[in-house]
Amino acid sequence: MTSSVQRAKEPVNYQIKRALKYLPIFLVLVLFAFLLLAPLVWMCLGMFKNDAEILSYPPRFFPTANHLVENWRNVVARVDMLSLTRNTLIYAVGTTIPGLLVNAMAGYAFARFKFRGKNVIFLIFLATMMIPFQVIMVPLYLEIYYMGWLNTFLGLIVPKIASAYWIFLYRSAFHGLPKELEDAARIDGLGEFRIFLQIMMPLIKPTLITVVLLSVNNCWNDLLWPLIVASSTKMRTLSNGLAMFIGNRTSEYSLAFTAAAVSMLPMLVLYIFGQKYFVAGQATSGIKG
Amino acid sequence: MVATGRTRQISYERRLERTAYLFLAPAAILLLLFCIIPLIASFYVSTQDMGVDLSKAQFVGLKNFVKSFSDRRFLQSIGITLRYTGIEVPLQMIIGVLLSALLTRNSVINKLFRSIYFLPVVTSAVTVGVTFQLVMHSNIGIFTYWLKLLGIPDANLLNNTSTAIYVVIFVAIWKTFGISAIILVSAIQNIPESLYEASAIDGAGKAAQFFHVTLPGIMPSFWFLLMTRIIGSLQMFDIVYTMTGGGPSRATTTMVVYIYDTAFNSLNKMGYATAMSELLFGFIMIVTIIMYSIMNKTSE
Repeated sequence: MTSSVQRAKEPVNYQIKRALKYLPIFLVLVLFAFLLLAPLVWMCLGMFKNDAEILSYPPRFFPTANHLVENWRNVVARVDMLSLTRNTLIYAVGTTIPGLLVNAMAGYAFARFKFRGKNVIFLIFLATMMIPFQVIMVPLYLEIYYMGWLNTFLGLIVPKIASAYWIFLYRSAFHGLPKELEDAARIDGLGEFRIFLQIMMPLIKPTLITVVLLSVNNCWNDLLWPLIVASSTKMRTLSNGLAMFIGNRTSEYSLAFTAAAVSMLPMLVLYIFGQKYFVAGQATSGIKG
Repeated sequence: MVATGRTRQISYERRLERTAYLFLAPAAILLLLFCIIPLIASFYVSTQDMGVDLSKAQFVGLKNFVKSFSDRRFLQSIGITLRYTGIEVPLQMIIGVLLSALLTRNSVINKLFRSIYFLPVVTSAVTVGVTFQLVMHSNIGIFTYWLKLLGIPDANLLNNTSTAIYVVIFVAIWKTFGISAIILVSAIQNIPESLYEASAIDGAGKAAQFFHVTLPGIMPSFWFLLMTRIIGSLQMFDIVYTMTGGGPSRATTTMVVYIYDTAFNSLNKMGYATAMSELLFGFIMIVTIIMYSIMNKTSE
């Protein structure tokens, strides 16, 4: 017979044992977190340091004084951050908002309607996802060039609006909605477009948020396409503008730190508030296969 | 009565069909214009010796393709791409599986780690490229300094032709391992609990459960991830472009970096660049088909 004292002790031993067992796992997780965060945090802290501090040896992790304002002034004097940010915003919003409607409509059609050629059209849409961008980038560039859209927002935005990837996300979101909703609305005499826009769209809000966040993030971070069609000084986005600015490598490290950190911050805020939607977008892409 | 009922039925279905086409039209037109037509045009472009000016284009047949096989730089870029893929993908998958196994439970601390690992999803290639240029910098880099503290002095990893590619691999894994891990975490969480209970009754330990329940359970996601990682690695561009520019002395010039340079930077050889990109596309298709058939065989 085990005494009650012994019995009470056991859980404590158990807890210590479990904690000890968990320790190696925890250390592995911490190591990866450290490797991931250290460069980013160091880079963000770099925007507070001036060149003297950055060049001092041994390198310090944390800044000793705040030079942010001075750095920011220098960056703005060198690159037109305002215009870069504005162009990036126009690219992101201009692609995302029309894309929301265009792609959701297509996804809706695949999910809710029967029509001839549905499977063939669906397969063609699917195939467009597998074409690597590099294969079409030269013809696409020539197309934009001959349309006179080079270095215009039209050229930057319009080819990026439709995306088979979003269409599939919408298709599976609309797929799960009950058929009765539609029928009830039809009996009430609502037109098909109003059923779609006023009844069905609000029901897939999580997907809408996911697509908006991912699409804005994609545009914000996109490099290759702006590099090709928006290379003039006036049209550059943050990504290719900074790539060029830092590409002409100066020894002014503080400017590089500041410009890179500042261009990242808006997306960081987006991530902090919308993390679960970012994860949802990636997770569905995993399930799809 | 019956007849009119049927015609009304048909016209109603017709109307719905027309509505469906109208709903599809905008996306279909855009995809046709900016995806399918360029794809078809690429076959034409790849048979031309041409720059931006179409009027000066010359038909050369398959010469662009033939030329690429004796283009030393192209062959070198293939070698670099294959080496990159061959190291990056297995490491990425191992780390992904390992971390997903450690992070399966939805505890607060695991959620915290997951959101940290997922963070690079919002960092642009430019930010990442600049960050690691600075982190690995021979004078001011914090990693360079830490490596020195660990006993590796004067590490100038980015400017060394034999180590630069490994930095690229490290950074590529750094940027995406969290996504891989989280895709696998959701796959593990979808495995029915009853399978674990059954195997526990059969006397399986934690390790045996991992190999006999978890791994087979996540195979579909694992294959999908493996496939997308390989395809993505073969198309590696932006981290290289922003971090090393393909250097030092072409040591990190992957296929897409070389194709981009050929088309838009030095010579504007658009026909030749497109021919090379089609070879890459063909190669990716072959890899995809092979993997797909292996996947189907193993899941039977």
